Amino acid sequence: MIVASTPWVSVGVCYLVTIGSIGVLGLRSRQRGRRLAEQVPEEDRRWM
Amino acid sequence: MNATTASRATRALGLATIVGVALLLLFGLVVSPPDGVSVGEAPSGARIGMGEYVRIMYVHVPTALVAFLAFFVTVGGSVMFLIRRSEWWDLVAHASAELGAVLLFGTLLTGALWGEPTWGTYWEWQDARLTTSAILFFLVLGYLAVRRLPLERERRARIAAVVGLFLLPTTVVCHYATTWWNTLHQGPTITRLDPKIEGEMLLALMIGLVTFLLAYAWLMIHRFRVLWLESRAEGLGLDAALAERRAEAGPLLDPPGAPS
Repeated sequence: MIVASTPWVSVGVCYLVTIGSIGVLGLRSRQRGRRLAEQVPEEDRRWM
Repeated sequence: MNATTASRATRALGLATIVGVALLLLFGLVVSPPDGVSVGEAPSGARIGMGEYVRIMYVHVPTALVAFLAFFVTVGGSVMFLIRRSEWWDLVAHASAELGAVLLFGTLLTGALWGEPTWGTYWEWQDARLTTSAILFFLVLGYLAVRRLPLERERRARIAAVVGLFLLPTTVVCHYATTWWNTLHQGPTITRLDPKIEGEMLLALMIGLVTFLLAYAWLMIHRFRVLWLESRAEGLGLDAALAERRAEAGPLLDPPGAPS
């Protein structure tokens, strides 16, 4: 299996998946929040 | 007016997370030494250890511990929802379960990639920790599937809260699996007074733990706010649909000259 062919490939995939998933989730949440905020009246999101 | 889910708190947490990630990359990939030489690369006489693969520990262990924390928060939110019937607690439980699922997926994947060179296999069903982790992962996927059921909001939240309670025993058993059963997975590394590692390795692991805790707090606020906005938008959509139906049925329901 190519992933386990050298230690650094496996290590790199692990860091990429864990840190990358956090980054992608954060960016997607911000984008979705921005789209939804346009649909919701100001008084319902004033606390944010 | 803030038209996003970001605020001063999320910006500070996001910045702290980015700094944490930079430190984790520095200490995890550069400063921390390898653990001896891995089995596959060892010349005769060299100390056998995990070699460079030890660096996987600095993301594997923190994602696992923070996933457990996320599931405890989901259980707490579910209990509070069942007691108080408050949407706030329901959304806390939901947001935390989403993050726990992502973190546990990372744990399973990094564990498999770490297991192959150290144990000779990506997965072992007879191992207590691996099997209970898989059960926990499928349970939280089931919880998230319940959250998408096309039911009235209150009923859906009630069913999800009951399913969420099952995360408590499953998480506890998963956490203590290496203590209660002596199978393939190693025992606790840092959750004891006398940790098995020290020096730069312990420091890198602690940086990883703090970084993923910061990331959890940052994403928790964003996800909670997104779910809150989704709930409001769903309610507004329902109100608009009802108003539209009333407008369509208006002449039939209120014929001209009918008493009001």
